[in-house]
Amino acid sequence: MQLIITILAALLLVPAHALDVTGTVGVDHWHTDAEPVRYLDNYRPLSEPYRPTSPWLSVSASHGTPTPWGPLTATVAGRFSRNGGGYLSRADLDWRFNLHAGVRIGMLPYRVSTCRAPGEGPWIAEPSAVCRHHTLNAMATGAAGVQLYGTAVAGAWLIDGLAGVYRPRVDGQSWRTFGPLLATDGHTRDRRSGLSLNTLHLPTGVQLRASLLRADEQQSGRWNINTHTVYVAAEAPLAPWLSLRASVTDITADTNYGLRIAARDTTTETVLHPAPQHTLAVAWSQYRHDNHGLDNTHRIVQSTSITWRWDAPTALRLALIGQLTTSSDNGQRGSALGLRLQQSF
Amino acid sequence: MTRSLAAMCLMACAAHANATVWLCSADTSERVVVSRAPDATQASAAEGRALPRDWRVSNYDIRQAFLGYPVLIGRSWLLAVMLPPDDPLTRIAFVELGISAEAAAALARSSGLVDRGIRIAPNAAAAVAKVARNAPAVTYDGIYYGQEGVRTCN
Repeated sequence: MQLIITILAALLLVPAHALDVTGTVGVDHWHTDAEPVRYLDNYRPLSEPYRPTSPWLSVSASHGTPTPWGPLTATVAGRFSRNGGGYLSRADLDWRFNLHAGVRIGMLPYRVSTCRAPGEGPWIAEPSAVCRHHTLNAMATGAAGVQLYGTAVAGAWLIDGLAGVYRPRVDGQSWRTFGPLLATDGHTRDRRSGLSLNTLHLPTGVQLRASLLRADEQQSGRWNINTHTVYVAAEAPLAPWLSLRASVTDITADTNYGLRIAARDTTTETVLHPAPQHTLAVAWSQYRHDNHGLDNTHRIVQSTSITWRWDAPTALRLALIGQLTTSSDNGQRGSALGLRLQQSF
Repeated sequence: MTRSLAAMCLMACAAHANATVWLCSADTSERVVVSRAPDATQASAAEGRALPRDWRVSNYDIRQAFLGYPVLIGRSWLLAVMLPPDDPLTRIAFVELGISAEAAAALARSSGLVDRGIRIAPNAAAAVAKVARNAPAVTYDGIYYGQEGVRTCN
């Protein structure tokens, strides 16, 4: 925690013109059925109010300096939204001690998934449940820790690797989840580790990602859960106007109170660029959640989404996105129509 | 006069249709450039030599920058600014580097495992403005006609 505060303080001392600041500001509005579509971005437990309109801001600031031992970069990033509140997604020091390797320390994104950052991509709410739902998207977030990364070009392939160890209780951003479940009390132990490998074919843009994230959590000093998440994704541009994405996420969790969880998210996505500044995407996603032992329940959530994004061809960097998602949750159907206006800077 | 203008326009159009021009910041401070061989492995500044004010960035440096490798120019490293992947200039420029526009867009995403610091500008004018403000930096355009704050890289 003190390291994170130190990084924040150091960035505040840097002259404004030496900071590299990027971000996106926007507002989302969702029109849904009386019961919001489950697993949609705006869906909240009954204890929290449902807010169809949510302004948000996503900002990143970084400053790099050369040292005799390699470039050193400090980065801070955070997001605030009316529905999600404010949180720090990143505050770290990155030391690139070699052309091919470096180390990061601080508050770090896990970098397990290829979930897009706010403002990126054609979606308001990502079609994959593990990217958007607040009890499943742990791997799309991060925690205090240390990461070692490496990169190299082998023939036509760019290969990146990353290994990390994390201690989420250190950064003070208390977790609302307990494995793939909602937390009901504070954590007394939370230890995580992850591995990620990414390969990119430079002449074509074909990209493959495989990741593993393990979590050992304890709640209230006695309830334990061990969660293993395996993520595999592929992206293939077939033509300048057409690309395909697919991902599979397997989550298995074992507890010491007789509950075992097996879940799988499968998502496929087709992205088209029918004209300059226009992006059209269609996605299908299925999330299957099985409880065994103490609770034998099963849930299947299937959703189909279509979205259209228009980027204004001006220096203002405005974008307009419209998205329709229909979902079936164990037979209960619902739909949501979303609209987003955003500006990047 | 009219014939001269027409000839200049034809030359400009020909240049735009077939190639891109790499544009670097026009910062005129004296720089020390790292002597860099293709098999260099160190990112930190090594012994170099003081160059005249018109420092140059090689095609090797440009490719390294867009692959996300730190390219040290003086006391700062080279910022790579690209146009959107579906811009025709992007496709032409990255063919020269042996990288597809789609791969370049993937390199610029925040979900990557390695931070590459590549920036995406909405159009050529915005890219040139960013390069002019953030020396040393590099981008590309269809033609160099004396845009403020930039010059050809090599």
